[in-house]
Amino acid sequence: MQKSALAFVPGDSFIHHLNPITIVTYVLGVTVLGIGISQIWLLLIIFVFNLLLIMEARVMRSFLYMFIRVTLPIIIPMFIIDSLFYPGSKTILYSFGPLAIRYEGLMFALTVISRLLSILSAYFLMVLVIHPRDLMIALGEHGVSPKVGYLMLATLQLIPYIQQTAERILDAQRSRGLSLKGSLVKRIKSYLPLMAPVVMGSFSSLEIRAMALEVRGFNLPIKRVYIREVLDTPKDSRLRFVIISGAVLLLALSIYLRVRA
Amino acid sequence: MGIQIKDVSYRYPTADARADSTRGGWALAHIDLSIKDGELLAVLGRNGSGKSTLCLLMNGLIPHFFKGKMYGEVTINGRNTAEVEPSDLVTEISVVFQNPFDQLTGSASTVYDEVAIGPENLGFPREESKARIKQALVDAGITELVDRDPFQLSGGQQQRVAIASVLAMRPKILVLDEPTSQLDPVGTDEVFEVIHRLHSQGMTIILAEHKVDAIAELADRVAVLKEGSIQCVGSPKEILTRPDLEAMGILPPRCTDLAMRLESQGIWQHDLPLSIAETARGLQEVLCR
Repeated sequence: MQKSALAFVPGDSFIHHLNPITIVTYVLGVTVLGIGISQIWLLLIIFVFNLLLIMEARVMRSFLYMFIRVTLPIIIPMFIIDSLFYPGSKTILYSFGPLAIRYEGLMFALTVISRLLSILSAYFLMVLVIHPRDLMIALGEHGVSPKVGYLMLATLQLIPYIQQTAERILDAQRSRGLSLKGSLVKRIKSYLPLMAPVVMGSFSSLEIRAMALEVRGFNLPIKRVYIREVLDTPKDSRLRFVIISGAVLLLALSIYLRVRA
Repeated sequence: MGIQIKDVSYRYPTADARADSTRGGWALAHIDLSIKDGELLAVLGRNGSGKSTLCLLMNGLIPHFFKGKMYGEVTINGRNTAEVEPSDLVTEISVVFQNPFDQLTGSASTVYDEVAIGPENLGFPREESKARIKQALVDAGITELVDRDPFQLSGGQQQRVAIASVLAMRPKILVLDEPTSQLDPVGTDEVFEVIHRLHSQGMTIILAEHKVDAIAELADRVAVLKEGSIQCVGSPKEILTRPDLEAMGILPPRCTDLAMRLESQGIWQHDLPLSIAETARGLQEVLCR
């Protein structure tokens, strides 16, 4: 049995009941702010706000699991390298042996990490509270082609099974004496012959899947009516307005503070 | 009206005419076949005989999905498949393929959502779609699987999900291309049970299969394909008891084979049987004689 690639955690929080487009708007707003804002304290406020939303959605456990697996391996080396070796850093804060933590490098590392924390936490929130099928439906309701939605959703769902096929082929080759030990170059060379059966097998599956979609009327020029209702309430519209306005205001505040400083 | 296939020949775009001198690269040659409403036609033949190509031809995937060279005409309830897109024929005819896993769309995380895709694409009002899905789940015998992840099911269950997915569009004709070829005996029985139920409800079914024992009991008519040509068409009794069946690449049902052997030794003196029940009756007479 293969675990699904979906990170979605079912729930009954108010965030789960929001239209996916509202949550996507929030994530895009946070992304713009994460890139545009340079004040660490402002970025950390956004991160803390995201954590509050994650708590409200009751997905903190899954969030921490993703956070530890995805974010920590990026930010820990980044913090060490930038604070020790950031080019042009002069002000030494603490030194041990030949190494020294410098103020400029530390500030750079903290800024980049705050950006990452604010943006990634919003993305994690999104994948934890939106079922991809709801997102596909909501995008369709807002005029996005069902093909785009399908592509996004099917890719997510099918990745573990392609991995499973690759592992099966790998095991079959190993049982015939394929060695995957040795230098990096040797291992890469060993993996190369595995690509053909995996890729060709995927193409063949793709052809059948395309036919299966065709015979289910996927290409019919008819407006789809989804069984699952994804509501877009006036509350969602108001919330999207608040999110966009808030993002613009925060960005303006950040620019104002930067100019004044 | 059913399906009318008139003198159809087809060659895949990738076929090499020189590679197969006997067939000239033609996957199907001069096929004439007529399938009546409510009939279950079984198509038998060895691998590469053209069964899958015939299935693809019946619902217009040939020539729309696979281009190649096609002569002749296929009509479904009076509509020429070459002039209508396959997606426009979904309420007339639908097809279930060999590999159950590859037929899962990948866009549904429950069986219910997977079965819902067809009716959703057809744009039915929600209540009508729900009624269609419910009936399709009942007909395919998978009501207990609605909340399961389709990718986590057994092969037999996945194949029944694939059948339910097309049944939800309520096609009049169902084409099944070796639906049990990748299933274990339990999964195979489950799928044959569904096919039998659908047929008894009056659905027209075209079933490409290797399992002659099941065909002998399920089919109204049997067609045998060899190297892209139809060798014979008739009732299961006429076809599966033919002495030249093996020459066409088909082994007779096991009970028919047993009776044939007994007949060659002068022990069996009745009509050749197709089912276990018929064979049991015949053997009882032989033993009591």
